[in-house]
Amino acid sequence: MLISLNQTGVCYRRPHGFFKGSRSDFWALKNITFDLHSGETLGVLGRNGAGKSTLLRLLAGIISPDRGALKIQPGLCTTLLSIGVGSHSTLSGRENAILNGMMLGATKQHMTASLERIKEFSELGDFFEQPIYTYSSGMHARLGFATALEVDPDVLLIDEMLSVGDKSFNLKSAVAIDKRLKSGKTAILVSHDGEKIKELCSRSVWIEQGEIVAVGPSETVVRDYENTMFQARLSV
Amino acid sequence: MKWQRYWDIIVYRTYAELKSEAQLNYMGYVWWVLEPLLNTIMFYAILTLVLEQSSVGAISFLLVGSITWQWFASGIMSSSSSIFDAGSMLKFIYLPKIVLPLISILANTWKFLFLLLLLLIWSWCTGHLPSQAYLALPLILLLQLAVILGVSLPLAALMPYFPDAKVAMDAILRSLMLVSGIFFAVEQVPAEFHVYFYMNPMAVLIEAYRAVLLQGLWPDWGKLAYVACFGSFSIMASLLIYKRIDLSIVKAIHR
Repeated sequence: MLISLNQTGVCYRRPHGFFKGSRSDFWALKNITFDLHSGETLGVLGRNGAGKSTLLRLLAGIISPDRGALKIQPGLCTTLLSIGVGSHSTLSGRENAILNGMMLGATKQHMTASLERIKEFSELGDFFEQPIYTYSSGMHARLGFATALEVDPDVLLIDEMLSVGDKSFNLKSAVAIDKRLKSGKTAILVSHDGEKIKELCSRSVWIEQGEIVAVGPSETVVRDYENTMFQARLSV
Repeated sequence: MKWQRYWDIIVYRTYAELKSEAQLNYMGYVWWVLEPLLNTIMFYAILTLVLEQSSVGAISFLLVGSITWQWFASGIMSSSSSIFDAGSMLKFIYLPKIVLPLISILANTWKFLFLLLLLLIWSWCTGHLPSQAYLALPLILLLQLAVILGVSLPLAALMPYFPDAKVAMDAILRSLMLVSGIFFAVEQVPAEFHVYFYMNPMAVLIEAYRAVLLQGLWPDWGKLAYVACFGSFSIMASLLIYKRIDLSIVKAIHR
């Protein structure tokens, strides 16, 4: 067991201004309890605002729980797959790949050794040596994705299906992620795509308004989730 | 291992910051050199033309104060909003928050070293040749770095909770500049105010720089010991603060 949550809650406090005194607390996650086992891919389902992103932030070790317990195996590297976070517009693609990779948890040596693969995967060619303010947004995304792919954390956290660049690169990146997940990588996948979850995740968690609605085999959780969503649409 | 990576990030981002400043605004470095020079010229003009009380040595006197003040003030200005500004990035990746102000301070210190070199050359050219008191210079520089860290680190941690602190800080820095002895010597301050004057670590440091660079005298060790206590105490307190807020500050950044 790599990560274990027990009655975990996260609260955002919104100040009302210095002189207004009271403040409103918003519990983005209330009582979350589940375990993540080594080698599994866990799916996370839920509507917008259900608390999925907060859950990923918690698991990535970016924020701490405000109540309940969060146990993460000591020394475990969990990384939220993010694209181009903290990049510097005047640095070249090559320099940004090293910087971004380090921000995502890899060592400098690891990133330096991965540069040729990043250059190839991102299909940037000569632009790899240019400052990234010369890039189109598709090129930004390609560089970011290729870099993130080279960072190899113990637990990979993925928010939604990343839409990267044009159709062909989109397909290529989806295939790369699928391959990574099927190779026994421990991962958590947040997605609205029930079919994708069923294909990649053996178990799933469905959360709604910060609370768990169901945990179990993806087949049943996805079926219940989609039925409920369908009912909700019909009743409107 | 972990800290090695954070150190690599600090060095890499410092380099990136210096590079982007040099590339994006052509005047970047020039402004940095110009600001203390303009201050010096302004003070000099006021002293000689309005107050009619100057000698030629006043320029060196003013330069030492302005340049070392510049390191202090711009270090604090640029680092205090560093965590707040990185808010959207910090929602995606974990970084020890202390890394961010350290990057700004390091970039600033690098630029200051260039100014310091100019200052040294100026004082040699105007006849203030190095004496054995120069041996105290690294210590004074180190103490100033400690003071900059000791003031910037808590401010940077505070800013996400109280964004208004930025405005207050600008005002305080401006007033502090006037009482740090940049354009006057402590002899001009009435004796009963000396206690308050020397509470300001920058006043002590500026006086120490002048003793070493312009008079060839050893600095006042007792007063420097006070600055050392000030610096190390506030750095230690900052480390405790950062330990406490490291995983909760992201929840407080509303941007």
